[in-house]
Amino acid sequence: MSRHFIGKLIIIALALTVLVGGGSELYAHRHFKETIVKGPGVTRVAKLSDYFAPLKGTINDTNVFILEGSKPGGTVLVLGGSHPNESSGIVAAVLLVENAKVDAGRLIVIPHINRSGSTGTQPSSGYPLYFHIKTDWGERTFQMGDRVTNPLDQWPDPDVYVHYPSGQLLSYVEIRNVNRTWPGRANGTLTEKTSYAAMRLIEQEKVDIVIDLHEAELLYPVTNCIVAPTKDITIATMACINISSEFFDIHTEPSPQNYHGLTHREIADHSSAYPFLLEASGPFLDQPTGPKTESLIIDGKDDFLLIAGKRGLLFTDYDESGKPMKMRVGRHLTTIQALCSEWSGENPDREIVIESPGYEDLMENDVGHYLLNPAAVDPESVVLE
Amino acid sequence: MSVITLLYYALVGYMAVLVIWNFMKTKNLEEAALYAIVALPLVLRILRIK
Repeated sequence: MSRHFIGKLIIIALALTVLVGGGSELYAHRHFKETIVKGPGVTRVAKLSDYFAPLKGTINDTNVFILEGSKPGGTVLVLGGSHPNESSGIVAAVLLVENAKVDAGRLIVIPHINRSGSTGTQPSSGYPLYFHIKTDWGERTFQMGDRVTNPLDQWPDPDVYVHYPSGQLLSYVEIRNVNRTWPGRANGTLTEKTSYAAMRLIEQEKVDIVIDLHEAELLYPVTNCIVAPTKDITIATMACINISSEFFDIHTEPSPQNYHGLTHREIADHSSAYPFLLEASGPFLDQPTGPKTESLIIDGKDDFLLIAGKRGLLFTDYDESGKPMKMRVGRHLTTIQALCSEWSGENPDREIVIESPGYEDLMENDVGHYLLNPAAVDPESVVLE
Repeated sequence: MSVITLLYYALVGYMAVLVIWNFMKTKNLEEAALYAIVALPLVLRILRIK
């Protein structure tokens, strides 16, 4: 055998090693199933296709957890994973499923509204494929995702995305962003169908409040806030005042009238529900950070953001303690309770009373304390996402 | 799957064949390594892994 032939064999061997090693990890990530344990408050698990049949069998036919209270009242829908790279939204939704108890009304939780987005990470960003949360019994694994639907599930993108029904022109990639495709379209793309199915859920379940959980960069002005349209602004403002006086700073941002496709705009315009979009500061999302590591997701500590903070470049406070997952999840859970409380005060005949861990509980006990052990429960109680 | 997506995969497959053909033909090991690197993402796309 010539040296040249042996050289090529070595190159093929190296290439196959990279292909099989790397490819198998990516394949495993794409097909990974997160576990969620049905908590004491869960009365039923539905699928999103129950509200829009054409979604059945697609990757976005996601689980819908329904928690019904003993007393009648209103209904709140909580959406996690609109942007699957905004991890605390998903974790907060999972904590609700596993811990919340509803005294009055109903709580509907969709931990992964854009399940496809969780099956791939953001190209060229060097994301970890998973993040792990230490629990009292071991560790729970979550997928790290991208902001948008996986192109394996929806492709090609148009040159310009024309939003339906407003006709607004948006960047091509936003056609795969579920928070730009509301209110959705029955015969549209997978992402548009997902939003459409969620609108049918809102309509059929007579949802009163929709709460969409997100994270935002510290270098972005719309962070640590509740975004609300005009009809909701009083409830949002009162909730912010109450939260700020007791727990942490949060403010209200008005939903722009002419920015279409987002939950806080389109749900308000196309249904009778009151939508709120919550933003918690997520250092992982900021551009000028160090490497995108799992510890950045969990601890939210970054030296570059610290320098930026000291130079007054951030839109929120930031110190050596970072923005840990327990803080971000705790903010979401307490804000959900505050919004339900304000809603119930203004609508006593459709009150929503939910018991769940809040900000102080999370800061004291950390997130893992509230994640249930799938191995310690009846297998019927374990749902795969 | 839409027609354009099928055409895209056919195109990727054709590109992958071209690159692998060039890998087999070349007598320069540096070029061979380059062709192998270029082929990696094409193969991942054909296999619908990434």
